[in-house]
Amino acid sequence: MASEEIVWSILTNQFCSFKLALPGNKSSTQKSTKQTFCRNEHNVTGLCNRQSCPLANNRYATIRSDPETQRLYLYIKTVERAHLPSKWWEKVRLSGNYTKALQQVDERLQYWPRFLTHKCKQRLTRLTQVRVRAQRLLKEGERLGETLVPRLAPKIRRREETRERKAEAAAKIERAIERELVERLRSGAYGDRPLNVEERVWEKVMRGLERSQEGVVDEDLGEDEEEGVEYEYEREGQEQEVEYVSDLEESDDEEGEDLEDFQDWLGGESGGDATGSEDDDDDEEVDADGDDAALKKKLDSLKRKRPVAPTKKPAKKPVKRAKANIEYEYEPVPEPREMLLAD
Amino acid sequence: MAGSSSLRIGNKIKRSEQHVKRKKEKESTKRDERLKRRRHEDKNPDLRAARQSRNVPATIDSKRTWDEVDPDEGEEGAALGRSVDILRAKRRRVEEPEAAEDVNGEEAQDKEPLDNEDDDLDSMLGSDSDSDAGTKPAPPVREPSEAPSIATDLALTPESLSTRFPALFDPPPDQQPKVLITTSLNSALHQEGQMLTTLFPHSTYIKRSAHAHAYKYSIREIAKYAHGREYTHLVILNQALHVKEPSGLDIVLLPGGPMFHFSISHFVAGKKLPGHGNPTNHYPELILNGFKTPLGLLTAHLFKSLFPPHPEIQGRQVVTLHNQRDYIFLRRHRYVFRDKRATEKQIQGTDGKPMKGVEEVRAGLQELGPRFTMKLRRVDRGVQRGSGQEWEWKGGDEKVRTRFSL
Repeated sequence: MASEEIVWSILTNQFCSFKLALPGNKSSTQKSTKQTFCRNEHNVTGLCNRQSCPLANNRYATIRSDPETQRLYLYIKTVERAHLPSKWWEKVRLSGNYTKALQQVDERLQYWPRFLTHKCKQRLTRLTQVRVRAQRLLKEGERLGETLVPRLAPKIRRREETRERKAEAAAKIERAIERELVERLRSGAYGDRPLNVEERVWEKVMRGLERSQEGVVDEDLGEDEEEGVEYEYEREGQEQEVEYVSDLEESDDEEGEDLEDFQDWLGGESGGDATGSEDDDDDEEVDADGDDAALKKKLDSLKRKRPVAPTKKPAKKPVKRAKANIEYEYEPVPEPREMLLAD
Repeated sequence: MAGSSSLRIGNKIKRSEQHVKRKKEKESTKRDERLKRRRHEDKNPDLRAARQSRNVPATIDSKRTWDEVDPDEGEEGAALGRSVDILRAKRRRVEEPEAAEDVNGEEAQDKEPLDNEDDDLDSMLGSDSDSDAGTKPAPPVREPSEAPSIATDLALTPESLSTRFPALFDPPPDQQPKVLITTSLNSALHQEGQMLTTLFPHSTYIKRSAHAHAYKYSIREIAKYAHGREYTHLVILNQALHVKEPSGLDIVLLPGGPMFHFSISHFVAGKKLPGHGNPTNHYPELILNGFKTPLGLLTAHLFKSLFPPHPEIQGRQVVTLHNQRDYIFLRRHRYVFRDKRATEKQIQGTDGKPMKGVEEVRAGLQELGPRFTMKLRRVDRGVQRGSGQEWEWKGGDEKVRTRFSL
């Protein structure tokens, strides 16, 4: 008994490592939280009092929960073991049922001071409520399935921002869009008389396509007819796949289409909308630059006026190239044949 | 350069004067050379073409590295996690039955039909850096045009992919999408949600919770109810904590389909864009650029499924999803085909050469509606994280600057 007093006087007057005085407590104006707190895990009330201090009482009881199983245990400290600090606390497991647990506490601490039993029961109640609430939150989180996405580390955030900026600069989105749209227009994905183009512009495009087509026709006059049919057929088959291919890239082919859109627009008729001429056009455009220049020269000689800008280029190209290029024009023609055979 | 201490002029003023003088001289010689070169090349454009083909600037996109795939793996190589170029791989396999991803094989083929091949194709995809190094500089190596001569359904999607996601790769024909748009819990992005309804035809925005104390519906529940009401997609706009901006986009394919998580950056409403237009409710056309790997293909099909399959071209609206280095830029434009003005250049194909047949045409673009950047972070098999992930973004993947997942 005497030792209790001694211990308490030391703890209050000198030093207790578990005592916690909050910053606002010292002032005279603050009245509500004058109470100091006790950080000892076995303290039943959490306050620093003569009655509540587990170190200054040889007979003490508290309730604590097991972190893993969430079960509540009654810890009892008796006078008989006061000299064996390592064996102070006797652990009694309480029932999971709240009322039964209360009864157990009552029965175990039957002749104990009412303060301790009362505080133990209060603590039991509070811990049960905490446990119930935690379970409810867990279940809710489980149901919602949403967790706050942790923020990216600053280094990664910065890196991504920079990379995004560079990617945007490299992408040249508007140019790609323009190219793709004009590509679709040129390849006839919009049909014979498209609704999204003005008459004038559409005519220009048609003329441009015919010009390039005409060149081919002029060159392979006799031969193209038979081959032309097969070639067309071949191209039609190819075109479908072509769209498929080019859709998912930086659609760079002249046949590049949005794969599904194109297939839908064509409605399964293989390249039906794209007329034979346009198919040939596409083939034609497969040729290298030089071919086109030569063709344009040819057309020049053939007939009509041409828009200003392109005339410059073909005019510039020295005539000597024309002969060499003519040879190349024949080359694509046998190729598809081979491909057909290879089928 | 007076770098060494022995030649360094002690007097700072004199020293800096000398430096300026030296610099001017150097710049002037460079300029003279440049202008002389330009004059030469104006007379003879072949020189310019040759020089430019010699000095092709190296970009990250041209240096892109792909994961190695054994030829024996076959379809396994097209697993979602692998950064494999399926399109080119297929094309190659078609062209040269002997060598699957053999660069040499490709080179051999390239050399032969060198002059016939089309200009526009694949310069952006580029030939491998290997093949580029191997061939002569003068005529740029061009890959053969879309080769698939072997006509029979060259399904470019690997079988494994299309069987795993039948809803995306094999949708019922003429299925109109019906999109339900909502936000994350406790979000204030109602205006942004409404904006998205203009973006996706046949979509509705519904607030996530009626009020702060209302029952919080989980995503699984919402998906179930939406499926019951014949929605096809559920789009969730996530809000960043304490900032009234969209930070993420989750797209769920109903019912119980794969869930795609994107993070959003730089969300700009249409109204804030200078010179913007107002969208109409015509079905837009779709442009999907730059999706190359199996995962990219999957994402592309997802976006495709969000829009009605038959666009109304009289509306002249186009939604573009452009993938560059794993960042997907979403833009929305109204376009018009118009005459090229005298001051404008011709449209250039991907190889930098002007496109033929359309020399006089340009397309004008007016931006509509929201624009933002997305980055794919995660693909779940089912509806949420608990259902297992098909693919997840990991920071470690980005250590190699040239490797991209889409």
